Amino acid sequence: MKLPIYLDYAATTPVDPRVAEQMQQCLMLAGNFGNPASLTHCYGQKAHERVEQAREYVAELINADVREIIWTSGATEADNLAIKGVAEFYQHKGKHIITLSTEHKAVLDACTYLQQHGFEVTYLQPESNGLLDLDKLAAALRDDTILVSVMHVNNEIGVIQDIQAVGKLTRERGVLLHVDAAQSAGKIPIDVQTMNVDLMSFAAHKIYGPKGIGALYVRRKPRARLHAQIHGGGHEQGLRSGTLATHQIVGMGEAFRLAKLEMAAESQRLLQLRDDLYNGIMALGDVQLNGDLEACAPGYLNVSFPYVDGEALLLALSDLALSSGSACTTASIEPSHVLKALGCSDRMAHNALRISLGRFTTQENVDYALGQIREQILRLREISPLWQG
Amino acid sequence: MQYSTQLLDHFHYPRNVGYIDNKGAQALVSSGNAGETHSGDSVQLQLQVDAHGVIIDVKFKAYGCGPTIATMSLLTELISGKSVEQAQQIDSQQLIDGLQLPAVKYHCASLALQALHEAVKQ
Repeated sequence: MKLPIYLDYAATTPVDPRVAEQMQQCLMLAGNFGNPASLTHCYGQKAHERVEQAREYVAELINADVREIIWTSGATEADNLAIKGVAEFYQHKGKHIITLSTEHKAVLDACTYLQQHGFEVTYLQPESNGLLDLDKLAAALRDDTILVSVMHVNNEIGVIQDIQAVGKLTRERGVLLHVDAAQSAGKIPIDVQTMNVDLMSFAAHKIYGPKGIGALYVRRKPRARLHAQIHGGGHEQGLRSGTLATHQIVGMGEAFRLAKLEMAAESQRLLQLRDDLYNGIMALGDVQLNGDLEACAPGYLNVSFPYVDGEALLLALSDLALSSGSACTTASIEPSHVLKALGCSDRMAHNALRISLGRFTTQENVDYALGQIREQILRLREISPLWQG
Repeated sequence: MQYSTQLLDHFHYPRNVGYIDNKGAQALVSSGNAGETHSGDSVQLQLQVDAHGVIIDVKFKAYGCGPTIATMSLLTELISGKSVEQAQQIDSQQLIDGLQLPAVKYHCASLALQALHEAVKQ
């Protein structure tokens, strides 16, 4: 067994070898290296075909039309394009945006930027399990609200928001709905039609595709309009200029195709592994689950240990590659804004462990990880003056 | 963060963890440093001193990051068997050097010495 065991799939995933194989065919002279926009010769035409095939795979996973998929560099760019693009286009209609305080920083920081430019943003607080209370959303909607942005699956706690219910509400009220689906695509079913989503962000690297590529779904009927954020050539229906990265796009397409094929079986497997981990950890007693066990995407577990320092625990668990909050927050060392929003104290947020399982996690990995976690928690509790075992 | 072999050794195999059953001087130090990322480390150090002023037993408990635990462990090793007077000569640089503490963890050494001084005072 290779150590440390990778248990941080929510941060990123390794590229699936089947995906890498497809990508390799799009790099060199003998492959599909052409510019997909160079339709005057077969090099460009072949690259164009591969890009459009990939677009189909992405559209199929979420029940969208191919013309509704706009390639971006990742979910962060897709979030920015959706939120700033809508704000700029619809500002004559209103300048109010609603989002959740537990969103990814890509959404929160884009909203903060808009606040500095004359927009008003309402940040809804989730319930203590991380779920959004729809009544609170309904109450926050105003005549000048132009956009609601709610993530599908939370990157820190794995909680699944009821997007269909949110979409029903926003559609009735004539407000656009943007959903960050970076963590959910390929893990739980998505149907943009039944969900009434207008804009949805995706990243390839969370689902065994490469980093540096993502997409934004932009609804055609009724049409969601956007102002482009990147100009220069009018690619992607003028919404996102820049030469298309064929190998990245082909990788994302293949990753999404495989996810669609394997999602059902893989969810069951990950759920089982997560339950083993959860039961084993809870048996230690004095453990707090962050999030919701039922409304949780497969493979996510976030727990806090009150008597053991989170930093010490991560150091003790050096055979496991884990995260203590979100990886992004770790870089800026503040207690996780998501856990704080759930009502965690600074200490409990600091002492959280995020474990996320994925395609290459085995039962053996989970058993080993559980053994390590149990052993180290017991050891550090013995050292802790706060623990009165 | 990359830590030294010495630090990792003290963290994974800390010396003198626990409480002294006998009545001895005891110190409890809690730090609530402003600007910390969480609500503070907490360490306890217990000393047992004989009639000649020699530290014959020492035990610690610590809640905090790895370097905090390692620093307490090293401190107990350094003062064990020393006279109280000698123990008080230990400065934070000795702890920093002994574990090659990175600059962002220097406060762990101060916290450990604070606990020692509290314990000696009693």
